[in-house]
Amino acid sequence: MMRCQDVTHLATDFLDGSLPWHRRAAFRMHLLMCRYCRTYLDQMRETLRRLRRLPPEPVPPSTKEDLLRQFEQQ
Amino acid sequence: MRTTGLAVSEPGDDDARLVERLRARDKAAFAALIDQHHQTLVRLALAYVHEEATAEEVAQEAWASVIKNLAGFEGRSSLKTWIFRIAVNAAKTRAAKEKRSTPFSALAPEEPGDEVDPARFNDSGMWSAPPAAWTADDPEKRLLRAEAMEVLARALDELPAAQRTVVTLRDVEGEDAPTVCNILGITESNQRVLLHRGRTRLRRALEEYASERSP
Ligand SMILES: [Zn+2]
Repeated sequence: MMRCQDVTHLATDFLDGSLPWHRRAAFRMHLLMCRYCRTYLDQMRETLRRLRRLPPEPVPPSTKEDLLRQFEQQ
Repeated sequence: MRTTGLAVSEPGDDDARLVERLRARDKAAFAALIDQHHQTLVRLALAYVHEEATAEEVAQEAWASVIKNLAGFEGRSSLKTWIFRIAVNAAKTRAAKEKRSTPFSALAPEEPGDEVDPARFNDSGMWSAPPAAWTADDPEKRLLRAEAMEVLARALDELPAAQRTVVTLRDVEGEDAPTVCNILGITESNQRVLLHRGRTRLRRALEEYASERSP
């Protein structure tokens, strides 16, 4: 039986689809029975969704001007 | 089945059109490219050089190299992957000049925070302090607020450099694992360990934020 702590260790591999099939099956079985680990996984997925939506940080205007000047001169 | 829900950018029509515009010296296209990627280039460079100002210089060198080599871009990877690779090479060159070791030269031993706090499990490895669902009380609203995104952005900035770099490429930029290994010159297993440690820390940052704000 997979333990909750194992689920947290293997969460990234599970989400990446890189667990071997038997570990994947044990992982899924654990999730079926353990709502805490389902919550953990949901939070991990939510973290990834948010990361994907992080807006690019603004570029300092002087840097941008310099780069655009270079681009025009090339 | 899709397991990650992450869109992976493929070299495609959008890229082809963008490259065409860049080669035609379309200033707006280049400006958009800078807006989209400059800070990621700085962040990539920061994995190899330690001063913010040096990282900024490296990013600018990378852009100069992008401008110079646009004609040679063959579309074998996406444009952005190509740009990331140029930036990492520029950063490695600079780090070599400064005789800096890269954060990827050896995998750091596990540190507290790289995994969920062991104190949250009982002796049988089951949760004794389980995570509380974020949507329980104030459904989603609170965590959807811009504040939570700031918490996440800050937590990302504070990750150890190697973790930050891998998470940025994989989870912010949506690159796939083989591409990230290739860009950074790291093994698949190191990539997975760094990604796992980084993601574990970021989830915890949001968890701490959510629990602080709970009534
Ligand atoms: Zn569990």
